[in-house]
Amino acid sequence: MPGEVLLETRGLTKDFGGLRAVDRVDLRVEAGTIHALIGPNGAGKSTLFNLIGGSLRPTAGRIFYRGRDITDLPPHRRAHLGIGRAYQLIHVFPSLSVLENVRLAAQALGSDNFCFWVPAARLQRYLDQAWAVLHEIGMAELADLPARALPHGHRRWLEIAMLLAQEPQLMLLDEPAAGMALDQIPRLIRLIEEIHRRGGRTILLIEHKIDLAMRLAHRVTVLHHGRVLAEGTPEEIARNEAVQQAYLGERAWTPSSN
Amino acid sequence: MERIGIRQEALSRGSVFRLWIRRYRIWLAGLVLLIGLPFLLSGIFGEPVESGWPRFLQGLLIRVYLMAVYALSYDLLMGYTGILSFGHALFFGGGAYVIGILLKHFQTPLLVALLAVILFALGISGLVGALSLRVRGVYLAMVTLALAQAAFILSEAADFRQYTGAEDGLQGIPVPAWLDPAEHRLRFYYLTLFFILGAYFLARRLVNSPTGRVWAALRENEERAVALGYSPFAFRLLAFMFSGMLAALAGALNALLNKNATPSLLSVNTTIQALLMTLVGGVGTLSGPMFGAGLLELAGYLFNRAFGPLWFLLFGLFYVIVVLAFPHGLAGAWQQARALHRGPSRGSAP
Repeated sequence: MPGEVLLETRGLTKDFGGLRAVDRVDLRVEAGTIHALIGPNGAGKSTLFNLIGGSLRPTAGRIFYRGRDITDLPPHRRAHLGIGRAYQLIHVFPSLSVLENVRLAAQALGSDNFCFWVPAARLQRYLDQAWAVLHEIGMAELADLPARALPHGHRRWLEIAMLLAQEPQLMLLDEPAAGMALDQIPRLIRLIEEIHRRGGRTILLIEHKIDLAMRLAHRVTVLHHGRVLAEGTPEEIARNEAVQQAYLGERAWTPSSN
Repeated sequence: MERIGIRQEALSRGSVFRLWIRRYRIWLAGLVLLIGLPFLLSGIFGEPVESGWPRFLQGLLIRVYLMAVYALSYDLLMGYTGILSFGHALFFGGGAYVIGILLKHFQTPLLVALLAVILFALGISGLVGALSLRVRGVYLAMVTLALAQAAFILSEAADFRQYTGAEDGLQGIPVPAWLDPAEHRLRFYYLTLFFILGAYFLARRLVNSPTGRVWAALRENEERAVALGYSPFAFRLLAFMFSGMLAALAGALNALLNKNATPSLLSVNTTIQALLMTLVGGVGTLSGPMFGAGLLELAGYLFNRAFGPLWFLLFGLFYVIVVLAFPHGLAGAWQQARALHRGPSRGSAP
């Protein structure tokens, strides 16, 4: 249902020693939207992702998913609630095959994890799911390659394939276009938009390529020095002077840079 | 693996069977050889099966099989799940002591005693796992080492001399007459051959199961596996328990073979043995460590015969040479040789 808040953080704070990486962040991600987190390097975007995914514990503040407080849940429990994540650094199982990487993603949320007496190859459901995703993403012919032998341009797609195999309600995409060849990016945009349409998924993404973020997102949150600098529609953000200021010295974004 | 599975669906049952035979023909030939080996040796030496050289070599092979299962159990932990445990002797020696004490002091029937060994192993490995899995890597190795050392000290403690024999070990374990390895070595040989086959198929089945695949995922990239929704603790604990169970059964049969259980079974040396056999054989291959066990046991015996008191030193040198020559173990060398033999067109996974 539109307007429902799927993910909310209240006063979320993370200190690393004396450094405050995330500073009292209140974030509201509405169900069914594509929400982009942007900000200069070191703004705390990845730390915020780690807090939401559960691999870091916040110093203060709470995280709510569908109104439920998930601040103290370990990451694997969050995955079962429907929070899926693709990493910025390629983060797969390198010596397992591409197919097995995706199959493991599908298996994780099923109920057969402790069927240690059944060959995994006989659990057709997860294999079918994995093949379907690989076909959709155009990687079926690479299925037998060990993940580490994948051509570099394909590794990013494997990350996304693993995410798709889990069909999470909330997808956390950490710089999905990083390291991707320029000619691949339109395909990535199409895929993200299609994922979003299908099943009304909610996507929270970090993107360094601001034009890409602006094109995809319905809502944009700008982080700066760990704080929320601005929040709004892409048009509002583009007009925001504080945001322009923050990006001075990096790379100014103008609506015409598409 | 998966692709083969899918191809098979298109084939009829008969051809699947033929494919299976062709695929495993080396293994099947090896199995037939091992079944017939006692009689083959009897023919070679011109002596009856149950005496002389054939009997002695059966004893050596029994020992190889038991150590092979022990190495296999270690590979489940180290090779497949990526857990470096330094306390594996606890399971092997523990199995030996449990069956020894039950048979000698409580006159327990053999099958009940073996069942007790399994229950004991599941309990103790579950406990060791629960305690050590709170930490990772070297720290886990230290926790498991400490627990195994505690058991070693306990086995030497004079307080329990009447049960454990303290530093003398538990001597004269009564083995039921029908299985007594001194009287019926051939029976014991087939029992252990059956045991090694069962253990191998269990391990193979486990690592190919959904659970086993998660073990591999945790070994490869724990953070990612957790993000996908796998709770590492439960899976690793299960690996510990299966591994501990196989090691304890191997230890129990070893105690039946020698009719004793000594503190040295619980010592660090016994753990190092598992580590060496696994490394020499090839980490994470299951069959590799079993061959590693065979190589080290047989070579150890030959070195002992040939060089007398110096043997341990030279054996160390032998070990270094093997590791330098086959950095990926015997299994790795075998796969490379096969890839070369097939030619570059077929290739193999890097």
